[in-house]
Amino acid sequence: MGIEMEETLSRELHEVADRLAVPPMPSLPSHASNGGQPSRRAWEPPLVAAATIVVLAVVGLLALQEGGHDPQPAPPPGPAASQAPPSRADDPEGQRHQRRIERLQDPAGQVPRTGPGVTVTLSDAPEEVISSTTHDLNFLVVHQQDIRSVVNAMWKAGAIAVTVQGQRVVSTAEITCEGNAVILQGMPYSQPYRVSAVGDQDSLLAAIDSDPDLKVYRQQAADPEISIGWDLQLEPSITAPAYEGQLDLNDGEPRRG
Amino acid sequence: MVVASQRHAQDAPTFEEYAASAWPRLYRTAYLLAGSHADAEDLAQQTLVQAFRTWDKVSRADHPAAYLRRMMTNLYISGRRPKSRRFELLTDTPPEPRTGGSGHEDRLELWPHVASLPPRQRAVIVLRYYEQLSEREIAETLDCSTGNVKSTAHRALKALRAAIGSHAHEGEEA
Repeated sequence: MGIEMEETLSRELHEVADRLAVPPMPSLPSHASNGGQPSRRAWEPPLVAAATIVVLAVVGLLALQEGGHDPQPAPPPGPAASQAPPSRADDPEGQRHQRRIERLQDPAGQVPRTGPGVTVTLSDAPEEVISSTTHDLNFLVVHQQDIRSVVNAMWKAGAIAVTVQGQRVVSTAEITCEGNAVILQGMPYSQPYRVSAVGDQDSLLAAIDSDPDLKVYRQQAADPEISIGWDLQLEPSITAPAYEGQLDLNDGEPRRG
Repeated sequence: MVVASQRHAQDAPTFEEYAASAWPRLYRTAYLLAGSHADAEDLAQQTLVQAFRTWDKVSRADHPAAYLRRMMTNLYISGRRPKSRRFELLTDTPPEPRTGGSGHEDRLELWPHVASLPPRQRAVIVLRYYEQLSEREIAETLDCSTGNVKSTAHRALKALRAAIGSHAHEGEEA
C-alpha cells in the first residue's frame, strides 16, 4: 500500500503539472538591459521622495519670487481641479490619468446634467387613513426600500442622472432610514420623497412599470384602505446637480492577533 | 583575476534568459504548491522578483534552479508577500473559484487531498514526488534536518491515507 500510494502520488502530481496551460511569463521590472541591477521597484520609494523634494523646492522658489505680491486665494476645488498642473502635461502617465479622470467625471456624477425625464413622488398614506387603519402601520409609510426600488429601476432604464430630494445620487450613495426620516448623505429628509431621473422617458416608464416591487407599491397605492402616495410625472426638463459627497468607500480591515 | 571574472560574466546567463527558461517549470511547481492558477502565478512571479533582486548571488550558485526552488518553497510556506502586494484591490473580474480545478483534477485519487495538507507537508510531498528530490535535498530546501523531512513526509502520507481511507468507507456505505 505504501509504495503503491507513493507511485500514485508521483503519477498524479506529474499529470496535474503536465496538463497545466502555462501562462506567459509576466513582465518583470525593467531588467532587460541591466542584468544584475536591483529591481526598479526597490528604488521607487527613494525616487518618489526625491520627486517630492524637487516639487517642494520649486514651489518654495516660486513662493519666494512672488513674495512681493499679495497672497492669492487658493483656487476653488471642482472645475478648476480638472486643469492639469503644467508638470503633468509632459508626462504621458499623468496625461493618461488626466484623460481617465475627465472621462469618468460624468459617469461618476461629478457633472451637473439637465434634460427631459421622469419624477416619481412617494408619500405616506393620508392622516385619516393612518389614524383609522386596522392594517400594520408599516404598510402606510414610505420605506427606504421603496425609494431604492425607484432609484434602481431608473438606473436599470439607463438614467443619465438620478436625484432624490433634488440631491444627486451616485453608485456609492446611501439611502437609509432612521425613524420616520430618510437619510441621504447624512441629512435627514421627511416625506414626500421626490425621485427624479434625467434620461429617456420611454425606457424610464417601462422600467418603473415592470419593476415587481413597484407593482406591489402601486397596488397598495390604489387600495383605498392603504392609499400610500404614488405620483409619476413626465418632465420636459430636470436638472440634476453634481454630486458633492465623498466618492471613495472607506473600508475596515481585520485586526491581527 | 579580472579576466576570469569577465569570462564568468559572459558565460552566466542574463537574468532575463534564465527567467524565460525557468518560468514553465517554476509555474508548474508553484501550481502544485498553491493550487490555483492565480496563486501559482503570484508565487512564481514573486520568486522571480526575489531572484532578480539577488541575481548576483543566484547566478553564481552551483544550481540556480535549486536556489529558486528554495526561495519559492519558503515564500509559499511563510505565506508572506511583499507588503505592497498584501493590500486587496478592487478588480473588474471575479476571482476564479477555489475548487475550480479542471474536471480532470477532481477525478484524481490523491491530488484533491494534497490540497488540504498543511503548507509544510504539502511542500514536502511536492518536492519529493514531483521534483523527485532526495531527503537531503528537501532538508536543504526547507532548511531543516533530514529527520524532520522524514517525519513531515510520514505525517503527510498518513493524512493522505486516512483521507482516501475515509473516502473509501463512505463509498462502501453509500
